[in-house]
Amino acid sequence: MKNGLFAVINIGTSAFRLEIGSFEKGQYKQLEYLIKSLSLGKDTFSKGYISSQSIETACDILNKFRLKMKEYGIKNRFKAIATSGVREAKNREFFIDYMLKKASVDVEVLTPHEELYIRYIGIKNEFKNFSRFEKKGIALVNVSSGNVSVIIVKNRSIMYADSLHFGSLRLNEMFKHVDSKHKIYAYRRYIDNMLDKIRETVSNFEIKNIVFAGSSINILNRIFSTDKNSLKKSDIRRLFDSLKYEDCDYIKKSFKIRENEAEVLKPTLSIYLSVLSLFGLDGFYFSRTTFPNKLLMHYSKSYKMCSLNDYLEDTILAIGDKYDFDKKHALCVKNSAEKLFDELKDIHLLDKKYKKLLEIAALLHDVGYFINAETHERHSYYIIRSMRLPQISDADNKLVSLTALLHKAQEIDPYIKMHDYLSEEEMFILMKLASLLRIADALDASHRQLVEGFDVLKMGSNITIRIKSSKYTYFEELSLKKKSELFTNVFGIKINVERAV
Amino acid sequence: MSKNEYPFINRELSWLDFNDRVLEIVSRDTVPLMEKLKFLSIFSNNLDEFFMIRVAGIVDQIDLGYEQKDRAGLSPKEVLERIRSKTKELIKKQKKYFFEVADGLEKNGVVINRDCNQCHLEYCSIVFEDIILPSISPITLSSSNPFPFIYNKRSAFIVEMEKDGKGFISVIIIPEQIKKIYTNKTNGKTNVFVLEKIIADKLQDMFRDYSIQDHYIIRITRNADLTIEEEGSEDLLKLVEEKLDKRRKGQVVRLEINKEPSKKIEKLLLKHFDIEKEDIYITSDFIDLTSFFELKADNKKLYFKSFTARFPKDVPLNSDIFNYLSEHEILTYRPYNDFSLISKLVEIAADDENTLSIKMTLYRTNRNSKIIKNLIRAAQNGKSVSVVIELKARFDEKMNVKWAKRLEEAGCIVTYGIPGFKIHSKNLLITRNEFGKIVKYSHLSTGNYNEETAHVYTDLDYITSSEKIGMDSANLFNYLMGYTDYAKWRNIVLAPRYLRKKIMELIDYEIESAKKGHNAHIIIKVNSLIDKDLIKKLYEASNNGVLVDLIVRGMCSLEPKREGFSENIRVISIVGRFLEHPRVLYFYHNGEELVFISSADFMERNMDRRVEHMIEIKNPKLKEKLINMMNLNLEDNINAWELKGCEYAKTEPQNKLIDSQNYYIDNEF
Repeated sequence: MKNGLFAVINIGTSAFRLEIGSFEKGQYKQLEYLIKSLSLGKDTFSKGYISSQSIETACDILNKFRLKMKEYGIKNRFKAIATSGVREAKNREFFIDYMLKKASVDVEVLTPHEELYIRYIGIKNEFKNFSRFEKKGIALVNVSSGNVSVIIVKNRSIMYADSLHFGSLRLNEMFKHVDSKHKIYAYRRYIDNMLDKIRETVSNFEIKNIVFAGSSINILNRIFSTDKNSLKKSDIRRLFDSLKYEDCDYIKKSFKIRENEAEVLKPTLSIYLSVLSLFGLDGFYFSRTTFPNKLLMHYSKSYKMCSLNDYLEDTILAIGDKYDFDKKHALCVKNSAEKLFDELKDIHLLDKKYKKLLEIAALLHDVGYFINAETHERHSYYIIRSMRLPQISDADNKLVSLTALLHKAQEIDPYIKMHDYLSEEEMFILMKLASLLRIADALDASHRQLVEGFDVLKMGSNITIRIKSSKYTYFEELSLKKKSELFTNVFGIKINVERAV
Repeated sequence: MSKNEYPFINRELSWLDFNDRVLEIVSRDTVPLMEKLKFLSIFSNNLDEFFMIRVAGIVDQIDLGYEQKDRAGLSPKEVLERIRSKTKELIKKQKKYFFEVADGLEKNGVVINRDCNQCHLEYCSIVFEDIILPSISPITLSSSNPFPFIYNKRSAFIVEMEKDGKGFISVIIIPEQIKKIYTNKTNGKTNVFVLEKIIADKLQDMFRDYSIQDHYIIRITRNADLTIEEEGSEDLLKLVEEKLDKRRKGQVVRLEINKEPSKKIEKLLLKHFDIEKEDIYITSDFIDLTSFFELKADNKKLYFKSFTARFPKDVPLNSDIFNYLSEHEILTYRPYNDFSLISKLVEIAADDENTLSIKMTLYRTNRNSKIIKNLIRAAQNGKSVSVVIELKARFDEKMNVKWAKRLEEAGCIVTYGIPGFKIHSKNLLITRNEFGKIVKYSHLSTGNYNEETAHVYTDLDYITSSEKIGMDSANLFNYLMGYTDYAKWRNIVLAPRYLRKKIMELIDYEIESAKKGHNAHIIIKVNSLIDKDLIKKLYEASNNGVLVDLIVRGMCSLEPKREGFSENIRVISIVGRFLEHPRVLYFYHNGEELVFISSADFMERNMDRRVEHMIEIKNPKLKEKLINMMNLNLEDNINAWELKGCEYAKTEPQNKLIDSQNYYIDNEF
């Protein structure tokens, strides 16, 4: 991060938060941390939309936050992020538009995976020796008001990453009509049902540590007021037993917590206990840094360990294995795609980040064979599109899936087009990526890795791919001629194929 | 009295004792005559306010049938009786002192005339005809001319007249806007005439067809009609909250009269103003001594010796002040140190290119406040300026509304704090971007941003660039301006949520120390000590062997030296030339010696219904200054009174005269 100021607005389900910080000689200093209570989650999780009153209040809050940023002269160096309270609201587009027009704040909605990814990166930077945790198997469980998101990392692979719809406020809203004595059973039943989705995955390997994150941690911190960053399951159990039949008022007074915190304490503790039981662990760690701080460090590019990309290939290969893919072909296409991306960078002019997306598409373009060979490209698309990789944003996932689709398909299905709408700019990027992937795929058309190497020769308005091979590569050459048409259509450059002598 | 029934002194009676101490300044030989006259005027002004707010609140309680005894064991009726009786005593004393001062002044060339004697007839006639007569309209009472309405703090003449054997009564209300004191300089003397005297001499001229039988001058004090949220009598009104709508608004709570009225006039007054005989207070022909505050004399010997307030040494009065502050903290003591340092700081920040923002709380300020002008300038210079104004600062509401408008017009962000909580905390925060580094400069004070009262009130001003205090100050403004609902406090302790708890904890620490046989000492300097829980905690401290020294200028409900409760507590009150205003707290804390300054008095309203601050002064040099100041206060034998049981006794100088106020005029703080 360059020296200077940066700000982040986090529109959470129960509150709006603003953090302003300064970076000076590599040191971060928090300058302001503002919290304004507004439970968008209560609206979204009970009515399905954000009420007009909440929208007005949200607008007032953002206007105040904007004034605060103005005080420090912050105009562009800020990011406004919203999570499930906005994400799941039916009128989210209106909310975003209203905030932009009335408060001049451009709100970006995070997917649960992006949220989880940022939290994971934050924790990875916060905990010393975190790589040791990762080696032994670690689960990060983010218990927020709207969702419980889980990411499991073991060795160098992300074994699981998904977001489940049973956050503490959501549970509270769902079961608010159940009488107070029976609520805990309703919570438990629902939580266990949701956790069934990951039970099978978890049973395949051992997890040694678990880190909890999310707004729930603040409440526990206040109740236990511990200096450590860990708690025992027995502590949570005792606390739960002491209040499970009590009402909100009693909880609020007894633990000196705020009303909105008291309301969600029982579902929160239920979630903790169920998750700990699922993993068979007696205790857990928790993060002391706030989510806005993690967002700020992430968006200002200030984390030392700033991505999970190191684990990406292993994770992708593990997914490929799950679908019984042709690993040799996948790696061969990936290598060719990498080389083409680098050699043709002056032509395609794509940012470096797209190389990673092209690689993923190259590794997974054929996973659809698992379902059906004839239309495998479509199945690859669906498999990749439903894949949950925390380091890949939804927009990037869309590009990867469509690139994989176009490695064979001539065009995108109107149905898919409607579902995965692309702007003109995104469409152009997709076409560039797909054109490269098609050439890379053609270079191993026989799936036998006959091409031992190739050179990309740029001569005038033509590009020649000179194949090096000691074997016959007729199928590859034929395929190249056919599959390079998209490249010619996109860039207006013809691809010639020749064999190295 | 059992241990559960703690002794408490009634706050109203304690307040009257304070005003008595103010009056007693007049008896001191060292106080110059014109200053004595000012204190007589201040005494009257204090009493006016007391009747309008406090006595009115008690009358409300009685009228609404509230009979519960207060913590001192007195019912509202009993309190009112004692107030009436004590006030009458004080008025007698004030009258005696006034005439002594008038005699003294006469010997020094300032003659307060008791009538318009022959020498000044012409002057008085001109004043009467040119100034007074056009402004007054006598109303002779009849069935078609009822008794006119007399506004609060307004005087009037009741004139008994006769014509053709028939008696008449005429009422002349003295308008508010008219000058009350007239001076005529002749033969090197300043001749002073009060308006009432001039009118009295002209009564026969005004009613030529009548024969004047007698005349009275009356002055009315009415209920100030405060709502329950307003400052002053909220504790009294809270008790009768449900019945408040039945209150008689603007009710007369005191009638001052220049002499004993005739039966006929008394009957008329009691009936018309709906008051009891006990509400009538007999004063003198000089019925409104508050007006003498504006009287000026040329002879400088009649005033306190003037002095020049000092700027703290080595502090540059330009943008280098920020460099200085990055290495030093400043603690100044008004009025000995020049309060204009603060307006200068704002002025420098307003013109400084590195300043990002300036924020300030505003409770009471003066008419031509330089600080506010500089804030406006800062806004005009493109700085982000925010001002949190308390609109319900008693008697300053109009002024604050005016400032709010002016500040808003200049582009400042003006907010009005948190509903239900008055902002009494005095804070200024300047944020600068110093070559990429954000630095916050905080000013916390025990006194208001009022450049006029800064010459009269003693107060402490603390300026620091401490990062933690800066963060707390920023949080405080965020909180007050509605930018945040929660904040983490590092150094500043705030009322209403944390202050009482923190003070209790600090006292508890001393109690535990004393129990272990260690030294335990508390010194608290405040304006008022009324808060029941804090008083009980101090009794507990005393009972456990903690030495407690209290320097309470005004009301004090704690009874010191009471067996079984407060043998280890000493209470003194310093009342002198300057109005003591700082709140300072000292705790021995096992030798660590913790010293705090605060904006809060030890009253329920300050602890529970106001935003107040307390901050520890950790800088060893500044801490030492404060400890020295507190010790000097405790040794004072010129301005100090000691509360012995329920009565105050003047401390008598032994060998050495110690005047804690004069000391800092001659010596650096």
